[in-house]
Amino acid sequence: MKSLHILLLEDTIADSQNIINLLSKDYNITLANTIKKAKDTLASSLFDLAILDISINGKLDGIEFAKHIQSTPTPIPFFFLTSMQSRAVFDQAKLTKPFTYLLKPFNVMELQYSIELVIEKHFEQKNALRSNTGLLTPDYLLIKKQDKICKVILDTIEYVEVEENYSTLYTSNQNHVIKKSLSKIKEMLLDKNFEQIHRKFLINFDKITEINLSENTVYLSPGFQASISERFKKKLIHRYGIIT
Amino acid sequence: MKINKLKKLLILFLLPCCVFSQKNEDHFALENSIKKVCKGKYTNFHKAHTFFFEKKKDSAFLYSSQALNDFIEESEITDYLNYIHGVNAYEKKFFSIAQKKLKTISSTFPYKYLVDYNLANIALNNNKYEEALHHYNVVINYNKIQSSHTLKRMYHNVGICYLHLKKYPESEKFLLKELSIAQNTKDTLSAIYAKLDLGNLYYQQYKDNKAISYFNKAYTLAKLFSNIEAKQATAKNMAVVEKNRKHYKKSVDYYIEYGKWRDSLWNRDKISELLEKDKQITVAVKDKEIFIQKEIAKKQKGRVQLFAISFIIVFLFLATLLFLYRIKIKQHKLINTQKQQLEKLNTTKNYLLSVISHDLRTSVNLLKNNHKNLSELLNINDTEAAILLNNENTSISESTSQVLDNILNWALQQNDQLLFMPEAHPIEILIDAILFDFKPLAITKNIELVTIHKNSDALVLLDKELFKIAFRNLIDNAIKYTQKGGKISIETSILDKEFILKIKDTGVGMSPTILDVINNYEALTVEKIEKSKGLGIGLQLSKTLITKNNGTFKIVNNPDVGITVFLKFPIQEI
Repeated sequence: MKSLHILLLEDTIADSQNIINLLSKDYNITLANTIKKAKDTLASSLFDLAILDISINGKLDGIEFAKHIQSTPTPIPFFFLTSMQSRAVFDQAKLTKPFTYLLKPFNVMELQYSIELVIEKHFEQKNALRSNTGLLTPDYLLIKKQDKICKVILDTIEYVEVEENYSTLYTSNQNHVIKKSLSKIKEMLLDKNFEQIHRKFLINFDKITEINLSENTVYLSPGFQASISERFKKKLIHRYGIIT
Repeated sequence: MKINKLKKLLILFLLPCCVFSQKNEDHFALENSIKKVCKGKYTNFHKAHTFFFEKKKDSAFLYSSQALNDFIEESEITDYLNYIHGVNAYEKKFFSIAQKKLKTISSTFPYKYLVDYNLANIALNNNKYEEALHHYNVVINYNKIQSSHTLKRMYHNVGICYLHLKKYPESEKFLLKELSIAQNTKDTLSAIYAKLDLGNLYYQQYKDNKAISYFNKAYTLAKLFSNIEAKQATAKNMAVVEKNRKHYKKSVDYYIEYGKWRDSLWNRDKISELLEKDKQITVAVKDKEIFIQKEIAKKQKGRVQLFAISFIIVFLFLATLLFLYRIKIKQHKLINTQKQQLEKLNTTKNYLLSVISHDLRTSVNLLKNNHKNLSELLNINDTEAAILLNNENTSISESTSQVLDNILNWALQQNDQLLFMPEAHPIEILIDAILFDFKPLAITKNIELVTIHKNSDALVLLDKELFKIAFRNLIDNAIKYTQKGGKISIETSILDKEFILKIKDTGVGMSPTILDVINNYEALTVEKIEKSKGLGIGLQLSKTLITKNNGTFKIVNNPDVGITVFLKFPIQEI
């Protein structure tokens, strides 16, 4: 599991300090106080989200940078911070629709809500985070965990245990519970190398270290194992290429 | 000499003999017979005889000739047609055609005597006296002529024929017959001419006494009669006779009388000529009048055109005036709207100034004084009092900041400059986020802040920032007016597809006048606010923004203590 990497464009020290205080516990934040630095930073590392103060050094550089983000091959979600709810300012920002903004001053909850809102909007998966079904991006799964959003790289999942409408994703360092049924989970992992070996288990094929047919157990990375049911045994053996 | 005299006289007498065209009894029988035969069956024949009896010679002549082409075989009808054609030809003086046609009529033709009569007249016209007499005799033998007029004419003609042939006794016999008929029918003119004829007859036989007696009779009769030609003829006769008798004086008198009658004749002609002239003049006058009328009409037409043109010009002028007037009205309207807008802006500005001077200035001044006090407290190292004062200052700054935000947002709203971007939001999260800020304040004031969400995940279509401003103000008010140890409960629920948010406090409550203003006006204009002093800018802003977000806003005083704010929003269906 990894924290989201957020790019913050903010020129007021008090404001940027406040935001860092509010978010650094849950997220990695990179601060830029000019549009030039922001562009350089965006080019040099990967970000999951950008928080942009509209007015940078008296200019509407926040909007300018938003346009820059949208012109990149893989635009990241972003939202604006502003101290004024004036339409005149936003009329220019309309070019970057759909956009979200947050009026200063704000508290951590409002900030958190805006982050969720903007990610859901960006990936067009409404309510995916708040309802805890997991938000799937091309590279990873975003999960809301105790009011913070974290990303799970699907390949790091050892196996999945399904119980009714909930699935537990086991990774090497943490377990994540999301609200997804077996069929939904299978659908999500369709183009990944996963195989169902039991009514309740899906295993990551790449993580298999040993298949013990006498114990009906698959051994994955150290410390992870899952049982095989008779129903799925043949298919697993066939796929794994073991001749009994 | 004698011959000359004779000729002179005779010319006068032959004149009436060719007149036959008068309608008389003899033609009634003929007309009836023809109608019986025709009965309108034959178009041309019918037209021919109709025109014939109506004395339309040319038409009768034309149609009779066409009708003759219709009937190839000789019959009763061709006889009639030949008769009609012949008589018409005779009357038009086509004597040879007339003679030819009349001669082709069959001998069994029931009106043979009329045929002979006409042939006789033709012969007479051609000066063939013997032939004429032959036909006249046939007619006399038939003895079928009914009309005394025709008889008289015939006797006259017969007499003339005999006269030409110098058969004087026969001539005398027929002329006397003519005279007797004329006298019987009281035909004075005929009588005069008959007497003249007789006079001539005797004169030619040198029976001068007898002749003169007749001439005298004729002259006397003519004198009493109105016919000028007769007077002239008899006078001239008398003049010739007297001249021959060498009674020159008498002759001259008669000539003078003749001349007089000739002059009167000439006068008559002259008069008719004058009448004709007069007529022409009248016509000319009439023409002139017509011409004048035409001119007048033309002028009137010109006047009408002039009128039309001037009307158009006036109309165009009026239209232009109207157009300009409308432009002016439009400008006026625009100016009026602008004036109203300006007035509104001015009121807004004044209101803002009053808010700034009251709400803002007071708290900033208080802050200023408190800071002075704080410095003094710090100088004397009274830390405890300083901390208390600092806490107070913090809350004053916070409320001042709130007032400032409100003023700004309110001004933006008044100028329609607020960004409004409604989206579906989980409203409870927004509520919790705002309440999160007030928790420390509530704890400081020892106010219990309770939140009850009966339904989670309700989505409401609203602009989240505007809603937050409104809600923040409501909670701020609730905390401000609730005594220490009081309670504020926020309850959300869903009823009939409406999200209901209740904010209930145990504060001081509100005056009925303010409640009336806030509950009863859909839009809180500056004018209305001005009338109800004491209604804070925060509450106005809340109501305006909630309404803008399609919500309803209502405040009631609780039965026991404090107020409850009811907000309702339509639920966004997923």
